[in-house]
Amino acid sequence: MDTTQIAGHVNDGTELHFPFHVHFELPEICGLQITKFMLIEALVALIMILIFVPLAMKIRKGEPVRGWFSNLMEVFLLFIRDQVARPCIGHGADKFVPFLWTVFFFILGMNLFGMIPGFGSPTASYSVTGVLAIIAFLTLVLAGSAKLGPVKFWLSQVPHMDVPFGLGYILKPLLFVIEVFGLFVKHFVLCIRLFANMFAGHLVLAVFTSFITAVTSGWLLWTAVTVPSLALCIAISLLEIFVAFLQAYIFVFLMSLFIGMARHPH
Amino acid sequence: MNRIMFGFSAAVLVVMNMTTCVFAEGSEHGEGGILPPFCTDLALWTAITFFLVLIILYKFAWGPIMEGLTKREQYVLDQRSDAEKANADAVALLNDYKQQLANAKSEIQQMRADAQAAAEKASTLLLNKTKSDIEAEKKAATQEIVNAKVQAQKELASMSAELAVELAGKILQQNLDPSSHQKLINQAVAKLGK
Repeated sequence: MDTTQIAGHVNDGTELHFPFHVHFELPEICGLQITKFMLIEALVALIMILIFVPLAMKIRKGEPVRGWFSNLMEVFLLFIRDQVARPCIGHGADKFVPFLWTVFFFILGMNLFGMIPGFGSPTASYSVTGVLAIIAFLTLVLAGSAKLGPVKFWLSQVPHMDVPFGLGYILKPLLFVIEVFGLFVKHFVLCIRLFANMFAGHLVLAVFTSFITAVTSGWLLWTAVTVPSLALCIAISLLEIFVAFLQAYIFVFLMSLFIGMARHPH
Repeated sequence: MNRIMFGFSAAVLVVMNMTTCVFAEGSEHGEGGILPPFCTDLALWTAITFFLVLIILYKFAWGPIMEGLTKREQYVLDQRSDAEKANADAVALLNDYKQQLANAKSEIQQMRADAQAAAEKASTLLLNKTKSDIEAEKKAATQEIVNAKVQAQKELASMSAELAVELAGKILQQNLDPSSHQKLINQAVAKLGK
């Protein structure tokens, strides 16, 4: 099994492979080929709706919720609101909280799906993380423009400087270009960070698993390779679960930070 | 909102029809490199899914959740404010009670001191009175004793005289032998004793 084949199991595809050689071909709907990642995204969206709509009915009245799962979900919601959105965005943060909740749980769901055998993490594709980064960028621009006005928002990208007369006319356009470029870079990094973390983790898992299939002869050698590979797979899987939560948190945290900076430039 | 959603979805479908995924053209498992290929279909699908779930959850979940959390937050803040107020009232009341208790204690001490002083005074007065009464009674008793003594002496003297006269009369009337003489003396003494 070469690296391309290994990566193929981490990447998107038109088939779902499950253990014991069970696989499904995904259909084409109205000329659109449904892929594994598309299916997972749809499942994540559906699960989010199935979890949060009933939870909303419980929380709506303001009474404390009952049950460990509802409380767990509420802990996440409150954490994003109180520890991420409000400190990072500042005044008016509550307007962005629903959006940040959606981003967090959408990314978290996609990350965690990668831990289910046969599925994968759509966030291990820059087609997905790129879109999320673009959404984050557009949110930042809209949030900043709504607060400061479109012109002032772009002008506020240049930091305040006390420079001698005339020098500002040279420095400020340069700084504007650099800062705007920095804005794009920040979001590009947002995309790459999430993609690289998820892709690398799953690739490592796939590589460790491929060691087992690579051994074709001798039960002694097979055992000597399989046991450590399995142990490493379990260890990396546990780490991946942690990374799934961490990366979702980092994405939302940086997004909140950028929105806060756009709304309060100085 | 529905119009925006419809417009957005239509635009996305138009773009999707113009683009294809790299793997869809040939590879089943991302042939052609270790990195996943960029897939416009997947990107647009992601955008649509994200906005759809955002809209649905915003309407049916995030709004009510925010409302509920705000209500609860306000309730907790109100409760805390009420508790702080109640605590302040309780502290004021406690201080008031403490002050009252301190006043009562000092009053009690004063009353006790007054009572003690009054009792001591009364006791002294009573003692003095008792002493003077006893003294007076003693004097009276002494006087009575003296009087009784004087009276007894007087009576004794008178009786002695009478007896002496009587005895003399008897002696004069009869010649007495020594035993009779002694008998008379004893009778006279016995009479005197009565």
